[in-house]
Formats: sequence, C-alpha cells, structure tokens
Amino acid sequence: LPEDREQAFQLQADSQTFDQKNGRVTYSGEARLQQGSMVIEADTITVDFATDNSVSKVTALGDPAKFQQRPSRDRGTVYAEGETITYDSDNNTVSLEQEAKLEQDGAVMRGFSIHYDLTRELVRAESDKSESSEQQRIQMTIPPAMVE
Amino acid sequence: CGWQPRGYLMPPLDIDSVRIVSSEQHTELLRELEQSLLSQDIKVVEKGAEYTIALGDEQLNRRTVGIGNDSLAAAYELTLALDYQLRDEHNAVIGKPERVQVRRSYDASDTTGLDREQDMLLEDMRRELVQQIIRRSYFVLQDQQATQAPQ
Amino acid sequence: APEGASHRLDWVPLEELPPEAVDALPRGCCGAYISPYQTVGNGTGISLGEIPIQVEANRSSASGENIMLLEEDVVISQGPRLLKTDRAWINQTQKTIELDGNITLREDGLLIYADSAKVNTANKDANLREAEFVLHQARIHGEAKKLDKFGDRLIRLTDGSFTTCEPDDEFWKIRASELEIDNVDNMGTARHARLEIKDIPVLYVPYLIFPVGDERQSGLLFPTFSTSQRNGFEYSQPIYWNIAPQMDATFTPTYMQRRGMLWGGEFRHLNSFFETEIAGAYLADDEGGYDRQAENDIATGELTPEEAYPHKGDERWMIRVDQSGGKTSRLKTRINYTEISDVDYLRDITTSDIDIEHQSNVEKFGEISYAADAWRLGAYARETRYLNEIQQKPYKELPHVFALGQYRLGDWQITLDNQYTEFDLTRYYKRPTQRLVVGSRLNTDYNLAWDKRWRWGFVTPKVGVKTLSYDLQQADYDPSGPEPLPATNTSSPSLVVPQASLDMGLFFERFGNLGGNDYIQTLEPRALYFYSDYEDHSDIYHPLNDVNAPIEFDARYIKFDYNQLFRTTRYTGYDRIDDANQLALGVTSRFLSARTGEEYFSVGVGQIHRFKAPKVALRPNNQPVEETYEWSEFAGRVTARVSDRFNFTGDILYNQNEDYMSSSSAVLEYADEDNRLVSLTYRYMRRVTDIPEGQEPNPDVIYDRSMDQVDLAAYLPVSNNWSIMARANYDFTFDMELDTYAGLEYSDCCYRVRVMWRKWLNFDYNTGNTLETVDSNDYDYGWMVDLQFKGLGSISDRIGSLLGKTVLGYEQREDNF
Repeated sequence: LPEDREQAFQLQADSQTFDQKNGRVTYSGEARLQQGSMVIEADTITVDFATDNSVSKVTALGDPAKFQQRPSRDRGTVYAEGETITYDSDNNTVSLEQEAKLEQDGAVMRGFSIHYDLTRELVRAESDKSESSEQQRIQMTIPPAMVE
Repeated sequence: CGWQPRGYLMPPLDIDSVRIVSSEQHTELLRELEQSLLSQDIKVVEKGAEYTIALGDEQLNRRTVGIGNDSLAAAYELTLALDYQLRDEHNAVIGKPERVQVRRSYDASDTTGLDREQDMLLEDMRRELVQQIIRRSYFVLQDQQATQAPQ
Repeated sequence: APEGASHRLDWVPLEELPPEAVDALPRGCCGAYISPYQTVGNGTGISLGEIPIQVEANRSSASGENIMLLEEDVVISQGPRLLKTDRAWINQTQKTIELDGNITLREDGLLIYADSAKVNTANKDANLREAEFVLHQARIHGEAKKLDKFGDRLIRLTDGSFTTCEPDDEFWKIRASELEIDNVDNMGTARHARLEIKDIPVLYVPYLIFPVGDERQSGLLFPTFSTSQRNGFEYSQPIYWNIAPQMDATFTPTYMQRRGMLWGGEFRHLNSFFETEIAGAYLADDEGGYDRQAENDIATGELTPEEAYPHKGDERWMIRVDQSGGKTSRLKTRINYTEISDVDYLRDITTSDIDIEHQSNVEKFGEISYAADAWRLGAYARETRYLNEIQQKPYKELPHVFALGQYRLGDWQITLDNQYTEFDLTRYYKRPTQRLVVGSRLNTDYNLAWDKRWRWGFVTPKVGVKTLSYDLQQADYDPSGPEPLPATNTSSPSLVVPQASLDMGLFFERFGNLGGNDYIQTLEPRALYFYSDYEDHSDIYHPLNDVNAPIEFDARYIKFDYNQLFRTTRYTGYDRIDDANQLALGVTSRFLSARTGEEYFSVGVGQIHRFKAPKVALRPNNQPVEETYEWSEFAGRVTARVSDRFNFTGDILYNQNEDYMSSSSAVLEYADEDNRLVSLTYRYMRRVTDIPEGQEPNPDVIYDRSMDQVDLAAYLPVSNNWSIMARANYDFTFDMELDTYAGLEYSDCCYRVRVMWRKWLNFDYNTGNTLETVDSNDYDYGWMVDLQFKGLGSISDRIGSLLGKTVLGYEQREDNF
C-alpha cells in the first residue's frame, strides 16, 4: 500500500550479521522482512541502509525467494517469486531474476526476469538471453474475469 | 442329398416381436413387411422388442431399355432398392448396414393401363424385397446368437 | 521455414494422407488440408470470453493492468484459437488483441496468415490485413487485402480471391471485390466476381451465389456448349440462386443458333410436408431449327417450307410440376404434371435427359390418399398425352376413387378392394369417336385368405368375388361425321365373378461350399391353383349397341412372361374379369451366404398348366394364341450378384409349343472399386407375322418386327485423371444404331472437363416414319462440352444426367463423390 513506506521494518531470521562499514545487515535462515503490506521471505535477506539509516535496497536469495505486496486498495495482492529478488526502495521497483513468477488477480506471468515498477505499475519481462540450453521464455495466463 | 426343410438346418430363432423404424411412414412396403411378419407369428410392436429393423427411403428408378418402331420407349426397367439396418434393444447396429435391390423389366409397346401394370409389378417387387429382408435378418440374427451363445 | 508453400497451407499430398482421409477424398483429388492443430475440446458452448488466455513471448511489458505488449515470437492461445505473431498488444478493458508482423491465426478448420490483425477476445471476431486463408473442410484457400471474420460463421474478403484447387496448381480462381463465405450454410456470395482460369479472366458476374463445402446439389455452373444438326450451336449458362435453406432455383438461359433464346428455369422447395420441383422453359419465336429430312422434302417439292417446318415462328414452351407430400404422414399427396406446347417440343428443344429416355408420353397426374390402419382411401386424376399421336388413347380418368380395406383376424386376412372411375374423352384424341362410349365404372375385389407361413413353407387358400359394373353413354362425336347408332343394349352392364386360389410353397435348404466360402442352397417349389368363373362379356363387347367398340377404358392383355407366372389376371386395367382354370408350377433355387443370407445366385423356372383354354378376351373370339396352350410358354429367370461387382438379372420365355424363343432380357451391371462402370442391357421380344400357308413371302413386307436391341454403356477411368465414356445402343432387327456417344473426361482436384460426341435417332414419328424407313437423315449428331468446378457442386450437368440414365451405377457413384 502507498503508506507502507512509513511503516517500520520488522525482521526475523535465525541469525544476522552486521557489516557496519558498508551499512549492510544480512539475515539468514528463514529470514522474513515485513513493512506494512510488503512481505519478503527468503533463505537470506541482505538489507542495505542509506546514510540516513533508511533502507535503500533489499536483496533476497532463496529457492525461491518470495515477495508480496498490495499496490493499492482497489488492486489485488501481488505475489512474486524468484531466485533473486531485489527491492529498490528509492525507485520503488522490484526485480525478479531466474525462475521469475508474478501473480496478480489471477494473472500469472513467468519468465527469466521480471521488473515491476510498483508506482507506475509497469511490468517488463525478459526471456533468458544467454545461450543456455533450456531457454526460459515468458509465460503468462490472463483469466477472463480480469476485466471488472 | 442333404436337403432339409428350412428351419432345421440352422438352429431355430424364437423372435415374437420386432420394432420397425423407417424414414418413411404408412407406405405399402411397410404394410407388406408387417403383414409378412404377422403371417410368421412375429408381431410388430412400438416398444419392448428385442430387435429393430431400421429402414431408409425406398429408391425407385425407371429406365428405358427398349424402343419401339416409332423410336419411342417400348420397354422399361424398374429397379427398387432399400437400405436397412438391424439393431438390438440398445439400438446398436447388428452386422453391417444392408442394401437390398430388385430389378424387373416389362414391355411397354402398348401403354394402355401401363401404370396399373407398373403398380402390379411394384407390388411383386416390394414382396420380394420384404422376403429378402426377413430371410437375411434371420441369417444375421442366427449368426449373432451363435457367436454370443458360448459366453 | 516450412518446406514448400503447400505444407504452409496444411496441404498434405495423397501419399502422406492417413487411410480414412484418403477414402473421404473426392476422386481425382491429390491431397487434403489437414490441420496439425487439433483443438483439445474447447468445451463447446462456452463463449470465448470465458476462456483464459495463455501467452508466451520473449519480452513483455505491461503498463498498468489493461495494455500488455508482448514481443518476439509471441504465442497466444485461447481455447480453440491459436495466434502467433511478432508483436501483440493485449488490451484487457477493450477485450482485444492487436497483432503486427507474421501473424498466424488458427481455429477449428481454419488457418489465416496476415501482416496485421485485430482480434476480439470475447468472441471469435477478427479483422486481418493482407491475409491468406485456408478452410480445411470446404477445401478452399485464397487471399485477400482485408479479411473480416465474424465468429465461426462468416468470413468476408475485400479484394480477395479463392479456389478449391490444390495450392500451387490453381487452374481456376474466383476474384471479387467483395466475397462472403458462410461456414454454417456452406454458401458463398460474391460481388463483381471475375472467374479466372490460369489467371486469365474468363467470366464476369456482377452478383453470384455459390455453395461451398461438399454440398452436392447446388453450385456454380459453368456454361455448357453443345452442337447438333437440328439446333446448331447451343450455349446455356445456368445461374444458381439459393433463395433460402429450403428453397433454391436455377435459371438456364440457352442460346440456340437455329431456334433463338430459350429461357429455362427450375425451382425446388422442401418443407416438412411437401417436396416440390417446378420446371419450365419458354422459347418466344422458334426459328424452326434445321432438319435434313425436311430440306429433302422441300427440295423434292413434297412439302412446302411451312409444312416441313411446322413450328417456325411458334411459341414453344414446357411446364412441369413434380410434388410429393406426406412422406411420414398418413395423408399423402402426389402431383406429376407436364404440359408441352406441342408434341414435337421434346424432340426439338431439349437434348436433355427427357429425350434420352425416348419418353413416349407426358402425363398430368394428381393424387391424394389417406392411410388409416385398415383402410387406404384416396382419389387421383390422370390424363396422358402421347407424342406419337397415332398411339394416343381416347380416355382420361377424372377422378379415380379407391378404397382398399384389409383386416386380419389371426391368420385370416380379409381384403375389400373398391375402385370407382369416371372415364371421359381426352382432348388429345383426334380420331373419330362415333363408336366409343364413356361413363363410370365400379369394380370390386372382395376376398378372404388364410395367410399362414412357417419357416419351411406356406399354404394360402383364398376365395373371393370380383364385380364389374358400368354406367355408360355414347361419347361426344363429330357431328359432321356419321351418327352413332341408338342405344339398343343395356347402358349399365355388370358382372359378378367368383374366384378361388390355393397358393402353396415349400423351402428346403442344404449346406454347400464353393471355393472356400460356404453357402446355403435353397430349393423352393411353389404351386398356385387359380380358378375364375367364366361370365359372359357380351354386354361389354357391345356397349349400348352392336357397332360400338368393346369397352377398353384401361384394359390390355399383358404379354405372358416370368412376372405373369404367379399372377391371377392376364389383363391390366379392370374392363375384363378373365376366366381361368389353371395351375402355375414353379421352382426357385437360391445360393445364399451362410453368414449373412445375401443372395449370390438364384435361378427360377415355371410354367402354367391350363385345364381349360380361357374364353374371355379383349375382343370377342380373338384370344391371343399363347393363352390357348395347355402348357404355357416356359418362363425362366436368373439373378446373380457376385462380390457387389457384378449384378445380373435375366429372363427368358421359351415357347415349346412353337419351338421358338418368345422373349428374353438381360441386364449386367459391373462396378468395381477403381470405379469402372459397365452396363450391358439386352432385350428381345419376338414379333413375327406368319406367312400364310402355301404363299410365297412378299418381298416388300417385313415379317419380323421383333424388338432385338442391345445397349452397352461404360464409364472407364484410364488414369487418376482421365476417363473415357462410351455407349452403343443397337437394333439388330433393323440393323441400325439408335443412340451412340463417346466422350473423354479430365478430372483434376478442383475441376472436371468433359467432351462428348453423340449421334442419336431423331425423326418425326408423327408422319408415319418408323425404324424401317430410317435413313441417315433421321439422325442428329453433335458435340457436348461441359466444365464443372468441384467443391462448388453442380446441378443440371447434362452429360452427368445423360450418364446417369445410361450407365447403371453412375448416379450412385456420383452421390458418394
């Protein structure tokens, strides 16, 4: 929700390590981060803090790492998954890399990488450019009921 | 030399009723079929019969097969044909769809009363068609019962 | 990239087709459109709007929820519909998908390639540009600048063309500024249509309706050309009009070089009760045609030009109404009405199938009947006009009322046959009528039979009584001619004749085996004793006075043959109740398949033993000699049906009293899987006038006028595309050809061309000409060419109807191709 940004961060994990020098904290072992309606669950979550101690970037790694958030009142919750999820708080974007999956109101999109601009609600998906054998293309299911 | 009255050579078949279904209704052929079956103690019923005879349209074709001194038609040939099927009580086809055909020719050099003569000939041909249908159905049903009997 | 273009359009050549597809293939065709994309049951009935859309692409970006851009190798599937494109914009709120670049649209039985398109996701509408399409079922492919699709039903092409020919071998194409194909009615309509053969525009039609799909009965008809001595060059252009699903019509204007414009038309209508066909033709001002015989007569001064060409300047026309009603109801009706402007119309104007049948008369007939459970009641009216006016019969039946009752009590069957007819003179009878009577007739046949059948036989005793009664008056006569004598005899003669018969038959069977397949041979002896009392017919021989001709409203002696063996009358019609005391004996042996009872072969022989020579005859004491033999002529019949390739029926009648063959007929029909068709028909009917005792035969009298004719017709495919057709109809008695044709047919996947040369007998029988006096001038000969587009069907293709009438099995073969 828009007011998520003002909420405090809650974090749980099995263990956490501080890296004062770079202003970075790494939580590992069933780490969970929540800020308002946004929830990230992953094996390890690394949070980078800006100089003014606000969160600038969150990087979650998992098999897969999970992200969910409700972009606005009249829209359904967005569920996302990916082996690497990067949440850029300043631009309010979420990037899902490898085995990316995005689901909203029943519409399911899969692909190699998906970039979701939360403020402008713009989704861009890319297939795997590398010559790896199993070329992973964008797949998407749009339910008929999408239209109100 | 092996001659047997019909009915002794092959195991008898006790059918007491048959349903008749046809794409045409109330035709002379259907009446002849019903009369022939009745004369062999086989009643024609609407429902509950073990077997159904499903008949298609009667196909009649007349062709000129001879011309007279004035170069006009002087002999005709009639071909009467019919497609039919035998079905069991679940309406499944027994055997394969069948076709019977009879062909007769007759003189037409003097055409007085020719329509009446053609009607008489058609009556004979319909009787022959009906006899063939009944006889062939007996054979097919005997063959079918023979194959089903062992189970 | 897909191999050749044909593959691209789902065209699968013959060799690669699965067997069941090959069977469904029209002959001469070399492949079919098989869609590789089988829709996996789209849940019929659910509208497209309720089916989710599956999307695959390399890149996608969506701004907000309503518009999504998909790029690079995009695949969109929605239930039965599959879309492939380079770029697609899916707009959820407007429920549309816009596509651009290398578009493929696939649906059930449909394939479209296009450069750009807009597709509606709520229904199956689509609008495509620069499209190329294939309708698999209708075997049609084509292209169009703009293609609009409306659901499953309608496709509209703007500036497009289509053909049923196989890809990269398009013999013909129809190009039109606007073209609509309705997939449900299987109908196509075109505006400003141009027919192109090998890309050369050949025919322009402003508005054209044509069937698509394998609808057999209606179609775009390419003109037929034919020539004949009598009418010169003929060009007829059938125009088909499908007015409504149950109603269609064909207009056939025909230009005849030596007669003028003939406006022909046929209208067909079908509803739940009636099946109606109305046909007509009108030639305003007949230019007379050309007749070599007439030219000779003019040259020799025998006839003036007006007499030689009697119909010059006349209106020539024909009207025909054919209707049958009540196919499944108790009430049934039938109309068979034909009227022609003059008796020479059929000979002069049409070389269509009517004249191939050498039709001897045209009939006006209307009947209505009701079939109750026990009774069948009805009435009909009948008037017959003979083309050979010497043959014209005097009477018409107006009306004929019948009531036939049949009751069954156990094995007893009661038959009550009542027929009442009013006979009057027909206006077509031109000869003096002073000695003719008219009036009404009532004839009945009441009998009781014990109709019992067992598997091994039957015994049917029958007793009954026939009555015949008249109410007569002198027929109208030409007052200028002699006066008929006043009535001295009764005007209401009547007869009551008791009859009895005993019909017995036995069925014997035995197994047999011939060359590996076992059969059952039957032996079926039958005896029919028939007794009919003799009643004096003098009141019928001399109606009203002693000069009038014997009553012959519709009675005629039926020449004895195998059909007559087990009949209980030797007359057709009801003006005589023939006496009889005879025993008919016959035996039939059949060879049946042991498994299905199908009859492979049957032979039957029979003879009638007359205990007393019959006395009743058509005219007093002129009983046909064959009826006076104590042992009738010997009748035999053979039928054979071998592996439904051969189908043979043959009759013979041998007169052992005079030791000659009285009549024989044989019909052999051959049809095999490579659809070679051959039919051989032979007919012999002895008609020899004996040379009086002790006299020398008079050279210029022809004593032998027997009918001795053979008709051999064949349709033989010689390769997958080429077929030959031929017919020889020959009369041995007068040693002359009757009707001969030879033709060649080239049949490709989407068209068929036929060329035929025909020579046929065509002379004026109304001037006393007969087969004996025929010379080369009495033949007409000419060419016939017709071109037909397959897949678009065809109605009155004249050569087809000619073949259908002469080559047995041809019509049936045509039906399933």
